[in-house]
This record gives sequence, C-alpha cells and structure tokens, in this order.
Amino acid sequence: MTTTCAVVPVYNEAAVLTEVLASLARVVDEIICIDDGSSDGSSKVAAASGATVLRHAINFGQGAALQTGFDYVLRSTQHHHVVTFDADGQHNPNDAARMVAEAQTHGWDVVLGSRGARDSSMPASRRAMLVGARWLSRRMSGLTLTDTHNGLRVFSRTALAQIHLKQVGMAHASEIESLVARQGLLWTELPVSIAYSAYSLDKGQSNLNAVNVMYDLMVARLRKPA
Amino acid sequence: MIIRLLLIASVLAMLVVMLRATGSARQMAIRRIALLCFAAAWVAAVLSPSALTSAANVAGVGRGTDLLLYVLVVAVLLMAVGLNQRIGRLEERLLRLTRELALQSAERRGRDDDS
Repeated sequence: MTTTCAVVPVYNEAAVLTEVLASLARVVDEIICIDDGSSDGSSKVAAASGATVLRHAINFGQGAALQTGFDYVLRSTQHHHVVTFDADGQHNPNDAARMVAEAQTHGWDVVLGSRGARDSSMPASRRAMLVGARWLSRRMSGLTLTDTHNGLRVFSRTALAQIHLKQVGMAHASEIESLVARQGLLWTELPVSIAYSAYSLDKGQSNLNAVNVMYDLMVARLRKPA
Repeated sequence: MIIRLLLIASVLAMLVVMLRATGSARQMAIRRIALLCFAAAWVAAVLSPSALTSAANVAGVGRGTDLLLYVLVVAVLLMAVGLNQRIGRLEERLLRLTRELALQSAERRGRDDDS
C-alpha cells in the first residue's frame, strides 16, 4: 500500500499550528514540519501534534525549507506522494486529499492547486499582481498555469527525486514550474480554495516582494547559459 | 573619446563574465593577478605622474587623475559584484550545512524512538 505525507514549512506559526496540523493529520499518513528558524517555539508545537519535525537552525526561506523536507522524504521515508501545505491555515486539507487521489488515480507526476482565474475572495491588489505574475511565468517556464504561486501541490516520489530547488525564497514557485517544464513531468491543475484570514494576510507576502522574486529569477537566469 | 568606449565595454564584459563565474580557483587567481597589476600601475602612476598623463591622453582623457578616477570606479563596481557573489556562495554553503544538521537530527531522533 502506498503512503502519503505532507511537507509543511513553518516560520513562526505557533499560534495556529496545532489547529492546522490537526485537520491535516486526517488526510495524510505523516506530517513533516520544517521549522525554518522560528523564534516562537513552533518546533515544540509541531512535535506535540505528533508531526515529524526538522529544524533549520537559521532562517533561510520557504524554498529552502521545502527542499529540506523533500530531501528527508527521499532519504528517510518511503512515501509515494508528497503534499506541500502551508502552515498559516490558508490551505484546505480536503483539497489536499482530492489532489492526492487525483495523482494516485491518474498517475500524475505533479498536481497543482489553482485559485482559478476569478477568485473573488482574494484581495483586489493581489489579484491584479497575480495576473501579471501569471503572464510572466508562462513566458519563463512555458507552462500554461492558471495559478503560478499556489503553495498547495502534490508530487509523486519519482517527480520529487528530480526537484532540486536552488531558490531559497518565494521564487521557488517559479523554479518548480521551470523544472516541471524542463523535465517533461506530467502535471495537472485542480481548483482549490484559499482561506484569507486577517492572520494569514498580515503575515503573508507583501506585493512588493514580487520585486525580490523577479530579481532572484533574473540573477539565476544570468548565471546559467540559457 | 576612446575612454568612454573602453570603460563601458570593459564594465559590461566583466559583469557578464563575473555573473557567470563559478568561483573556481582559476577565477580567484585571475582576480589576484588583476589586483597586483592594478597595485603596480598605481605605484607607477605615483612615481611618474607624467606617465599617467600620457596614458590618459592616449585614451582621450585630459588629466591623469581623471583616468585614475574612472578606473577606480570600475574597479570598485567589480569588487562589489565579486563580494556579493562570494556572499551568495557562502550562503549556499551555510544552507547545505543547516540542511544536513536538520536531516541528521531528525534521523537520530527517529532511530532513538524506534529503539
């Protein structure tokens, strides 16, 4: 029987982590939390919930935390499918379950969650920026996605082995897309709902961070001969 | 007039080269040689200001000190890029170390739980 796990990058989410992990635990066999150098005791909270906890002694970013989780899954577990899931309560475990089922039934390498082209619950400024991000991402990766920066994804174990994230920050989303395109992985999108709470919006990425993402991607491009 | 061409072309060329650099020992050796040449040129300029002025005139610059200033700006720019790259490489190494620590701690905990 094949098993499933969730990789949850955590940075100072002690306030909501117990609740998030409790509902997530119902749909996966193991939760792997990567504490990316939190200072609020997130590690202890995660461990108390029964999750497997890996801790970065220093904060690096969500991309780095995810890759550490991926390395752990490949090195120390036998799970066949991996869900990447946010720790701030924006993701819905039922969506994760649906995406895993989709991957298992149809043999997808990658299943990507999508907010869809018209998500009215999203703040207008964010929606406007994501339209631009979507256009740019399509041009850079060649994939026609409806949602280019959604943290809810499912990977098969074989797909995971081909992912080696170099981007430590939020540009990892674009890097994943480029990798999927370049390795010719079988991918699909499924509609998911994101719950925007005051807590998560407050903590979340500002639109200005898009500048940093663009810069990181451009520098990475310059380094490698195209 | 030539100086403008030289400066712009050299900066662009060196930026491209540096951004692609892998930080190998070769790069470091080249950089050190360049540094020594620069230091030698500086000493020569100080010892013989007229030589500096001649060099400046060849390049289309009026004063020797102006030439020195232009070259200095280029050198500082490249130094900044080089240092940034070095820091980037250090961060990568730091991340590899942090990741290995995280993975090994988890594995050890897993083994302790099973025993």
